Amino acid sequence: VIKVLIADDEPGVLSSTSAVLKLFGYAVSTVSDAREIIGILRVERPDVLLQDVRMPGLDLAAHLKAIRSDAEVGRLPIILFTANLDADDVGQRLGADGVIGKPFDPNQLRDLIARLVGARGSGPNT
Amino acid sequence: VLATLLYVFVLGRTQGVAWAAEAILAIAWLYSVAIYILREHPGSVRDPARYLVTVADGALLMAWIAATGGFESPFHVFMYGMPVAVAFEHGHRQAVVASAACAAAYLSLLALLGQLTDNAPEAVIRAGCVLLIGPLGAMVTREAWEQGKAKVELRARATATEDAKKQVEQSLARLEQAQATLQESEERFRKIFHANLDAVALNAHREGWLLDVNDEFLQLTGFSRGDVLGRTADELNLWVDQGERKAVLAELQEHGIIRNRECRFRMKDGTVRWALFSAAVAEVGGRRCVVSFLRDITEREQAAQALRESEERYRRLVELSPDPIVVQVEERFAYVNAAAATLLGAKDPREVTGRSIFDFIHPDDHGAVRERIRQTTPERWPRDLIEEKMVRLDGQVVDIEVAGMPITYLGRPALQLVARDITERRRAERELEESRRAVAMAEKLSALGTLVSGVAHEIRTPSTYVTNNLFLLRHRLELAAQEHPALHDLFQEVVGYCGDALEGTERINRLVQDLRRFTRGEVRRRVAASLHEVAQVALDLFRATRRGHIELAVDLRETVRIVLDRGEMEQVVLNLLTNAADAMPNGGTIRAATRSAAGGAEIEVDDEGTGIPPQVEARLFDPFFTTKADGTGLGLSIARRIVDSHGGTIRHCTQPGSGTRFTVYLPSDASERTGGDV
Repeated sequence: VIKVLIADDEPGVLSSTSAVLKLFGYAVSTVSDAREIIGILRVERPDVLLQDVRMPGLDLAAHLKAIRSDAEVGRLPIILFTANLDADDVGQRLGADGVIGKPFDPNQLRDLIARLVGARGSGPNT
Repeated sequence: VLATLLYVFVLGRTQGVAWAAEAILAIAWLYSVAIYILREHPGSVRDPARYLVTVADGALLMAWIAATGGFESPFHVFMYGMPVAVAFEHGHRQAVVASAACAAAYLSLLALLGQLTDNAPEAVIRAGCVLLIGPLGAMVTREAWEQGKAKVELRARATATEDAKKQVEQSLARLEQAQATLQESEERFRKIFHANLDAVALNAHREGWLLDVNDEFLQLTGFSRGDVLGRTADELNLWVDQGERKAVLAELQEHGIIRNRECRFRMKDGTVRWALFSAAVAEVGGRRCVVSFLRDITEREQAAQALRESEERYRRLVELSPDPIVVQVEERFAYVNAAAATLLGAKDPREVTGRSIFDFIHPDDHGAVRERIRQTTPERWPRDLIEEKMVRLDGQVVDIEVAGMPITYLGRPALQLVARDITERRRAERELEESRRAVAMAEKLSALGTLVSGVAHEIRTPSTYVTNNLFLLRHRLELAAQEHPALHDLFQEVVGYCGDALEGTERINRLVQDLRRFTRGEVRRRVAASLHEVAQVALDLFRATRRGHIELAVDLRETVRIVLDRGEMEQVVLNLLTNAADAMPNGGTIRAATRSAAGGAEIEVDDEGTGIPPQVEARLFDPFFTTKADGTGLGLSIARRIVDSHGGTIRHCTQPGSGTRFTVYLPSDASERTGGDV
């Protein structure tokens, strides 16, 4: 089962998005505190991180850099999850693997996750 | 004499003496008549005495012939006549010589003819008679002549004396009359002299002394009578300009009179006054005098001078004025200064003088200018500046402001106009206004961009879980419908509601994106599509959302495929439809049509609404300009931006009260412009 970690501070977004992803058969865990993300990544080892770009206390650039520089989780596919309309190119610049807007077409998100995980091939957790 | 000789020789020898006598008589008459006729022509016979003598010659000769009863021969006639004639003519001495010559000639002739020897004593007696007759006849006749002449002269003298006497009497009578007239005349002169309103002075002609002056003269010059009498004008230092004085005196000398010459005179107190100077030479009281009249025209001259100076000042002011100044008479330029000529695009004021002012006023302003002219009367006229457009000779249009006032120009009612070229000011104002608007617009867009960016985030976040939950709800309901066939229809119905709700969130999402895109000016991906497909989608959306009494009359014809942003073009059509509906608050019919047009396709949206007022029309496509209570002012602005980005045009045609038509044209080669963005 593909594990997805959703990091978002909006409970409504967290619950509905995890429900949608669960519907598609993913194993979903969530985190709403930015400071906990790295720890959870290390513990849970998800296949994909769906990362909200605007969380309280989150410096997105530093955050992504920290993940990428981590020996264990550095190769994790990261999808930026944003309600900001201007984030498309920001995502690319910061080293994310994909960007999905809010609100999103659930099928589109599923396709994106499938593509990223498939491209990663046999990861440590598969 | 020649004729006589001819008869003597020819007729005397052939016809006899009687014939010769008659012939000579006739010749004498002819001779007399000839003399008489010649006398009628002065110059032919100069001395009357001499021809009288000659006539007498003839008469005497005739008398002689008559007394003697003819001559034996013409020689005798000649001989007796000649001495007498010569005696009358030249005197006794010559008559004696002539008698002697005739006697000698007679004797010589007889001798020549050989007759002397036949009758020698008779010949000698006859010759002697000739000698006597000449002087005697001459003496007798001359004495009588002289006496007669003396008598005639005496009588003539008596008559002349009589005439002279009469003339003297007449002269005396006339002289008396003249003296009376003279007295009268001098009396008149005295009256005129003293009662004259002009200053009058009487000078002795030769010496120049002032003999008399009237009171006016004293009043004018400030002198007393004692000051001036017996003095000359020079001594009184009256003349300011000696050259002028000399010229006046010379003219007076030549013509005896001088009229209304403008001269300057110095008064007693040294002030200089202008006077009209007239003078004449006249005999007054038996003395040759000069009467001078001085009419004080100093005030008139000063006024005239002031007027001349004022006119000169005005002329210079107008001619050199940097502001264009014109004078118009009956709607034509009567005067144009240099600045005005330049304003009108002429090199020389003469190029435009005389032309109608309406040749130069922009047709838009003709009405206003006519009204202005109508309001202007010599008593009242508008004081404020009027702004108008002028068309120069080269066709260029300039903005001016004009002030006008009624004047009289060459005796005719006229308008004097002072203009100012405000083209530059106008342009600067327009530019300032445009730049202000551009700045205001940029500020608005910038503020909106920030706002939209923030709001978009806040909308999209809850929108995310609405969408997600609707998605989940629909999914569950679909499953439930399969699990519970009894409730299948109900679940399916609710699934439909979910679908509609999802569509709504989709539209919210799109609106937010459009708004953001507008504030950032993004271009999205384009595909080839046909306008009628786009219009169809927009119409469906419109139908689904619109309430009210709006009828749709749709005439969608298939058009060429055009590379376009479907979403954007749908938005354009939807905006036009929405505006059309808003223009008809009481309902009506919207006609929508698509068709192919030259090089592309057109879509037309037509309403029966209120139309667009002119003041709104100018700002129709301005962002945030709206006339609707709940409008954003973005509809047409976005539509225009979208159409522009497709290389198309959006135009409209409005009729207040009967509706508006918007036509969007898109060229089919837009793909070339977007560089294969398909």
